[in-house]
Amino acid sequence: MTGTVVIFLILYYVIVLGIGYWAMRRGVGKNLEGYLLGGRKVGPMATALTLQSTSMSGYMFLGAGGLGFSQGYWALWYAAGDIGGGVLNLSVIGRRMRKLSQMFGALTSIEYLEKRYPSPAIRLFAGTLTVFLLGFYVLAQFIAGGKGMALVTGIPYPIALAIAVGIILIYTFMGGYLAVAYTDFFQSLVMLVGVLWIAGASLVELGGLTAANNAINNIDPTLLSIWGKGLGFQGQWGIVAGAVLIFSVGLMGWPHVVTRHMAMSHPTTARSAGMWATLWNLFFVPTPYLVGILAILILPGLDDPEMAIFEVAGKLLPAAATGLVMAAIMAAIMSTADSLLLQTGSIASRDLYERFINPEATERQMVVVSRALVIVLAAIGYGVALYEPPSVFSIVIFATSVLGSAFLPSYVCAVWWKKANTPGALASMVVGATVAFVWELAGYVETTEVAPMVAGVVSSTTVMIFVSLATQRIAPVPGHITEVMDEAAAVGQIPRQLLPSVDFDLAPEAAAVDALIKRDK
Amino acid sequence: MTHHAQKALIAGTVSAVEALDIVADVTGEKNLTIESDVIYPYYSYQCTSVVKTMVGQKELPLVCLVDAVNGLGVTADKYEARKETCAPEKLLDVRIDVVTATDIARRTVIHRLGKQLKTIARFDVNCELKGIIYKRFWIVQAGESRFLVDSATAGWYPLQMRAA
Repeated sequence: MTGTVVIFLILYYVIVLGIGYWAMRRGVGKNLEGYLLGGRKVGPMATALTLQSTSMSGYMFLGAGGLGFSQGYWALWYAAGDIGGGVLNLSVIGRRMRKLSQMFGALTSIEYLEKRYPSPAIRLFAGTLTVFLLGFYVLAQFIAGGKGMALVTGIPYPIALAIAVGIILIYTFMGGYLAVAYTDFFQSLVMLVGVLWIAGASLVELGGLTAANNAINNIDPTLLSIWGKGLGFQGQWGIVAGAVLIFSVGLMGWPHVVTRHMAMSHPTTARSAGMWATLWNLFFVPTPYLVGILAILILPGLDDPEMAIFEVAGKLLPAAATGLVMAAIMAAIMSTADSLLLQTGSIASRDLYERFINPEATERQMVVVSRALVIVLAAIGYGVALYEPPSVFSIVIFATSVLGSAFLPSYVCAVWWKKANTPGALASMVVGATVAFVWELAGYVETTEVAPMVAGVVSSTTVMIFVSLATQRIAPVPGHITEVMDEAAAVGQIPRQLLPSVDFDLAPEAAAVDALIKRDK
Repeated sequence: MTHHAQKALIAGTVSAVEALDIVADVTGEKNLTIESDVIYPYYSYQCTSVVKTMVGQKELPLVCLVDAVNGLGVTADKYEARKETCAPEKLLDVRIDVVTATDIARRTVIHRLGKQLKTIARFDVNCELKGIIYKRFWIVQAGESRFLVDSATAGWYPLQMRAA
């Protein structure tokens, strides 16, 4: 990479900081309070873009490109699930979960689980498991950031990794100063434009998609098949199902994605947000996989497949554009890591430390716990990323499989099934996480030809249903929870034409007034 | 004997007639009546916090309301209050104690700041209880359905849709 790339990379950050400074000055001058505290006011486009940018980035720029480079068109199974993932996530649990979380008064996803399935064991297990798995996910972002930084600046990987980790920590501790909340949206758009630009440049370089496919066919025709290189996955529908499900239904089990629903301005925002998420996905999701596939031709001697997108950008784009696009990619990686660390710190301090260790914790102590955990995660992550760096793809797939397997039935049943009770949810989480974890570690994928995600979700769903039904007498769902679920279900009975104008913030007051009317009768 | 009491109400801009108009507009129903009104209690807090931004450290004054029936906290716009005489049967009972409400207010403000600013930081939040403030809601009967209309925001929500 040239000095021009670095200059434009720096210029990009100056622009982003300038936007943040301008927005903050404007906010402070006019109504910072309104921006910060306007209730749950996040519109559908911002909801969708935040959701998508949180759940992608590091994986999409390294893992997806690497998979396309290694396996050819088989990689698009993952893209197929991912394209529908956003809308499935928002439509299945989005609206009802937002309303339920508001009525339960839950501020975090783990707190929500405990309120829906009342037991400290739920919070303890869900919180611990989430902190553990989000740690893996953060690790993937560190590796992605370190590799990208090394390539862009040309400095050795250990130093680049340290810089990337350091920047991510600063980003996390100084989010308010840097006004990242103002600039996320801008960066999401640059990221989209950047990836499409790289794909366009690749297609122009290769004379179009048909010419590229013909050239790949000449190298290895199996790369064009739906079964992977050398037809390695031929007939293995259990693996294919896992590839499709991991980013479709798997997304519903991510606590850091689920919490986003609580910030939407209006439950019907879910519907509009779903449309935006799908639109974004249609353009964005398949593109990194495709660039990886095209990189087979552009960079035939590439050593590290996960660097395919960075290397293609460096080879085909003008230096200035490369700098801007790479900066956007790095920013996206940092933004994801920042969101993950915030979520992890919040769960550790609020859901674990304050709830189980020090119920009288002061705000200062909570901040210290959050920051300490973030620093510990950064130190461990740096060590692992330096000495035994796994592929970004494998880390993300592992963490998503276990998270999805553990939490998917609990989140979905929490809003849709009134008989889902605490023993059912706890057993479902334990079994789902264990099955997916063991499946991955023991290598059952090869022997059974079934992906960990499929095995985990089938197990956790089955356990949720059977244990909940078997324990209805000894552990019935408390009346106040079924009442809240009834209230949430009533949303669906409001005539469609009335939905856009209903003020769902009034749901708790309406429930109390309903109860008053019933009592007076 | 019923004792009417003076209560501080959030100054509403939506009259009973306007509440009928709101429901008529959204439902198209012409047979509308005001069934009654209810007076809903909230703990009102004046909170302050320190927010560090690129343009310097700012002390931010915030209003936080805690629903005194359900215990839900929400940051809110500044409001004006006026004293009104209220019939006791229209007042909803306060179910949340003040210690719990104060804790909810602090948590709500801290959580809101952390989420919006995307940062792990100490905001030095201080919440001072200003008292219990009430808000009037109109209950509008429209055919066989009932609607709750917020007298301050003009927002509405259906009541007992399942029974309708």
